Amino acid sequence: MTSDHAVDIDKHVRVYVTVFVALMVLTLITVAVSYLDLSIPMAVTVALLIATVKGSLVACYFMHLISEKKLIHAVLVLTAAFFVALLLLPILTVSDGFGIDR
Amino acid sequence: MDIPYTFEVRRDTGLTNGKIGIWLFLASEVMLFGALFASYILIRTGAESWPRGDTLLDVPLATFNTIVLITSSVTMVMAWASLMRGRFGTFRIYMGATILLGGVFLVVKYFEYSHHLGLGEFPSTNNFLAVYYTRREALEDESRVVHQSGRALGPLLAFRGSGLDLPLPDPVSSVGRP
Repeated sequence: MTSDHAVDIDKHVRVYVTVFVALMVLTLITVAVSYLDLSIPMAVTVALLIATVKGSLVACYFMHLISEKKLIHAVLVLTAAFFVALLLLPILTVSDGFGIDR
Repeated sequence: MDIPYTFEVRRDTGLTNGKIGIWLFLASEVMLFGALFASYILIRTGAESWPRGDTLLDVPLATFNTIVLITSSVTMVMAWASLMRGRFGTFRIYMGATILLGGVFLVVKYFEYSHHLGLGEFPSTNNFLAVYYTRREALEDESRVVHQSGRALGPLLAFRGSGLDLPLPDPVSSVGRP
């Protein structure tokens, strides 16, 4: 282990602590928002927005995706595409109205 | 037979095989949860009415458990950083804290479930509770337990017989090394 390496890790640890604080603050914001009397669509939108930011922070910094190799990113992009397809398929089968007797 | 490219990086991928493996596993978990999210959206949008979550669930308790989970993510990544610095003692403290926090999460869940069951709120009571017990809770708890024990075992097994100065094969936590 070189000293450069140790400095590198120290830098990482500072990032982890910052992200940790950010996650805590965002959690408290989510909770605070739940006490506001928002409409359901609004509440869901806000909650999902905050959750997306939190999830991205964890993935980018705790799981080191931000400095990851291309192959891993490619795997995840493919996964995201199939995930969207998986969500859309059942929604489309209902919303297109085919085969539904009303 | 040894798994190739466990410590040494493959030149064409720029990665160890273990790391690709764990990301493929995570990708498959995304699809598992995707099926659950899709069914949740269908159940919820198809329902005549849907209760507000905070009328049935305990917000402070859920907040506490969220904080437990976030803290356990941090202790996990700090455990990894300790290994990278070659500090095995610190690693053990952080890893122990991570496992302990996983346990705290489950204990809180135990009290949450028994409270609901005591009120006669079963998965069969309504769709909200069905989703609550299956999607959000059971699977996430399960994956928590699996992940945390996996995370604990991975580096420990790697240490067995490999010596402190070898690069770690912990696949998810890998930052650019010199």
